[in-house]
Amino acid sequence: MTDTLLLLVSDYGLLVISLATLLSCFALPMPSSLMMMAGGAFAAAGDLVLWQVCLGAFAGAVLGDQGGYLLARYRGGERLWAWLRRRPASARLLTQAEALLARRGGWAVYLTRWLFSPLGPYVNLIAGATRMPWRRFLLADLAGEATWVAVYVTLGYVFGTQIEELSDTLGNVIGALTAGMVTLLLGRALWAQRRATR
Amino acid sequence: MRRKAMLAVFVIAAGLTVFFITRAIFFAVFWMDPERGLHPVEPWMTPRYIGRTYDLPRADLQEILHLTPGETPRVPLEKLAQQRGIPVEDLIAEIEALIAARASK
Repeated sequence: MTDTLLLLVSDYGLLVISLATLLSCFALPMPSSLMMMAGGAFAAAGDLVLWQVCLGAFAGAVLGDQGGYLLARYRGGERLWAWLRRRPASARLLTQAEALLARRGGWAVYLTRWLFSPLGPYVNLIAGATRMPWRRFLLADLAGEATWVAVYVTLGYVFGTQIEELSDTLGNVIGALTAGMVTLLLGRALWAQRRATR
Repeated sequence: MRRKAMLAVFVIAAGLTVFFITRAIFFAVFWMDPERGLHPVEPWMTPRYIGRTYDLPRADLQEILHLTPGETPRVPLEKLAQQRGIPVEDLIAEIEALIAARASK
């Protein structure tokens, strides 16, 4: 599987990397970080050009994120959100999520681009559905994706020979960080609930 | 009821955290193992990538791959083998022999 994808990168180059980062923004299972690292490794060897790899990955990722946001905002996401908020079962949780996004939305968008990247696609949809100001979303998105691309392409450039091992390790570190963050947030909410009911 | 659901998700998330930490440690240990030696040559690798990774002289590699001295195309080994109508394993074996010969020098 991994080898087939790496074969695609060496065969088609930039196009595959852009496509992978674009599709990963819609929660499709794309090993986009491995492909960015492969791009960096090929750039180090002289098969690809470094700035083109960065730009290609960056363009794909930003386009994908903006697509998710705009879809949620203008193609029904807003109405779905309003409907969910009227339902008593989900109203409170969603109002809380919306308030959190209004207060810390910029950071949520920035950090879910690279550090908690598995959550990125969903944050795009929530940001669009709750009408987070587009300029703020765009700025946080640009900064976050730039960080993501810079980190992985640099790692690929430096660790060229060991990208597969690095990707296996790092993928699980990101998974642990994301699951850990969700655990902490839920733990905090549960704790607050318990104190409130006492 | 909602609290129960939240608790369930909390337990699942905590379990996933432990699962990913274990996997991360496993892969890191595997990666750092000095006994493991060099990463094997694989069909997706390109001539330049192989040259840089295993520190091989360009001329030797070009000879194995039947490339002229000026040629270092961004073409994976698999395709180079296909073009010559030979199995990619043959090319990999020749390259690994070259790596071994250089390492023993």
